[in-house]
Amino acid sequence: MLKHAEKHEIKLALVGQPNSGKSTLFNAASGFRVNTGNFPGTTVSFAETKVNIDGHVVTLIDLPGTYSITSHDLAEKVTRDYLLSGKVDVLINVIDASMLARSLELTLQLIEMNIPLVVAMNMMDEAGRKGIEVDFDKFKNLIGTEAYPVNAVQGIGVNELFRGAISKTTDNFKPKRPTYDRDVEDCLESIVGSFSENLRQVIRLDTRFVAIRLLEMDADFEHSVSLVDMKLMDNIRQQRKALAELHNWPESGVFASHRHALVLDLYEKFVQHRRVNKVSLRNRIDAFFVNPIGGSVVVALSVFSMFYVSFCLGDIISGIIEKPFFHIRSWISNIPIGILQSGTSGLVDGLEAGVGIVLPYFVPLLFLLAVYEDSGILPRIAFIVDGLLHRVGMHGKSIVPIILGYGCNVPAILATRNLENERDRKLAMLIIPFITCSARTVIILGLVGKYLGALAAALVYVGTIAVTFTLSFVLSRINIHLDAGLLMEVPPLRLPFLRIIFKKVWLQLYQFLVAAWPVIILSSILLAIGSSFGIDEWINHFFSPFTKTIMNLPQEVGITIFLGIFRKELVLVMLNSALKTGDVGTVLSTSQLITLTVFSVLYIPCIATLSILKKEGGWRLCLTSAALNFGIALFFAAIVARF
Amino acid sequence: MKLTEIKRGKLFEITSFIGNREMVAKMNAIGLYTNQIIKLLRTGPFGGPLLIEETTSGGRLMIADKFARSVEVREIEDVETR
Repeated sequence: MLKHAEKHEIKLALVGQPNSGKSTLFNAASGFRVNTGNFPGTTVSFAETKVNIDGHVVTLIDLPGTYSITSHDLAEKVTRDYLLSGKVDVLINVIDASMLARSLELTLQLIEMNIPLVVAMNMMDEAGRKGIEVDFDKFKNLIGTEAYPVNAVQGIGVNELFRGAISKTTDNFKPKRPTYDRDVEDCLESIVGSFSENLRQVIRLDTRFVAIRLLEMDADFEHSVSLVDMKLMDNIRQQRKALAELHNWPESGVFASHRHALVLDLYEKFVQHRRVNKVSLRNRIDAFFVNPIGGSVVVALSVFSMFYVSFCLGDIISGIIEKPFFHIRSWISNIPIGILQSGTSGLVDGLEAGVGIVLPYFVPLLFLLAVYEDSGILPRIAFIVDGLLHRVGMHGKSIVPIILGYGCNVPAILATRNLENERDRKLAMLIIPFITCSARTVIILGLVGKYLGALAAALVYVGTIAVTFTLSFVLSRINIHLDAGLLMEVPPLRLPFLRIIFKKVWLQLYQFLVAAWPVIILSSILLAIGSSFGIDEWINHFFSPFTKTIMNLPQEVGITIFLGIFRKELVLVMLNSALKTGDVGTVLSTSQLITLTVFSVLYIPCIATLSILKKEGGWRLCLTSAALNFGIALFFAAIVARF
Repeated sequence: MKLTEIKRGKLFEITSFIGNREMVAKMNAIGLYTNQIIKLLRTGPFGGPLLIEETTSGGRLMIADKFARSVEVREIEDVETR
């Protein structure tokens, strides 16, 4: 037996279906310090925070939202394995009270695992609107565990919930397990009865739970049992088949059907339905989304406004941030020691890039994205664009990474974790570096926009979108293992809560900073020091086959392209000093301006993106991406240069 | 008939699921079951997914063609349910 320290830290885990408000509950309880991590070796993430409740230090873990834990996909499997590992003291099952019947399926599955559990009955207001009334006493008697009404968004009932959960740790309270039909129970009993002592030793889990898993044809458990006792597994298969034939049901669905029937039966007993007036304001607004034309218009407006607002606000914020950095730079020029001056200069450059270029555009985008997510607009956008995305080989869920990519590629790559299918994910990760992030947009505006006008800039912009879609189409034909497609809940439209939006934005921002900043700053410092030793000449010479020969650009541009690998906007920022002019338009021809722009926005993802690609997709993907970007950029730039 | 063939304005009851086990389990998990009554709200543009509503919970789902083709339904009379 494990020895527990005197002041054993309590671990609570939140489990619930998507859109149950589980993460909102987590955010309501957490402070500003939240650790996000992945389950080892997977892309399945969880969040963790420490909370103080009545003097107890509690670790709260937010597990991924899943509809069930019968391990049909990785997130379910990982969640289940984690819960069975014994690391969790009490489980809090967060339920959307307005979707109670479906939610109970998961609840029963969790109860079958035989671990201490309480229920958080969330969104009671929503349930009330649907006319659903829950009898909490009957619930406790029938389901076998305590349910606490909460409103996660407003923070109501949260303290009582956690107190209740903690109290369950002292008496190791395990909810009463559901009893199924007589013949199912008999079958389970017989399976458990046939477990040898050896098997029990090997599979150190609750035997009834294991028997249920075997009845549900869980491949992992079947494999484990076969390893120990092949004959027993065959025996179990026969019993399973007999049970299925008895009820004339498909073998795989036997237990699930029973559980479902039990859920409905119990549901009727503790839930009352009132008659409600179905025509509410919200339904009328939603009718817009449902309407064929109205829906597309609203969605187009939503997406457009996201970009428009983030660019407008971005411009304003970036203008504000420029000023202090200007002063800092003049201070730096006074630093005596050469290498110290370049190093500090590099540091400041890196800081300015992180804060001044990306953040002003990125933060408003994050904000709007969070608003759209919480209000329910995002799934409606996914609904409208899914067909279109599918035509170019992408999955509807890719829309979020794509939108994020316009702010910055780094969080966009991170967001691809939402794509369950590995192939969809890889495709998205290869496509994202072609999306014009804020830094690239700055280049388009600063070169083409400034000297050739808004229309030309817009054309270049649209051109990159065309390249992105075409590339996606081509790449998707290479590996045609297609996902079955979207199967997603569309939650009701809600008014988002500002406090929660801010927390969400902060969390995402924090992740981005941790991932991108160190890379940006370090490379900036190295660059500045390096250039003070005169590596410019050498680099220009190295790139001349590309710059002079293929793209018909002055050789001096080589250093800016090299710098652009570290931070994209440097291509623009360093151009003046590289070409030794105050006005680039006098040195470069129209054709050259466009060539340089086209090349810069398509070639190799910035170093921060590359490092994330390597982390999320491995070296091969990272290098493929770099090669793909470089090749395509050179190709199009070469064509434009010939015009 | 298959779920892909239903029209707006009518109610349908799910009679059975066909197709691979994983797909069926996913549909069950998200709340689609036999005897569930649903209606079509609209079809997504450019061959996108269907937007359906379950009448008991009022919940709405997007369901792609591949999934919808695995669901057998039959039309039912518009009776007052609950």
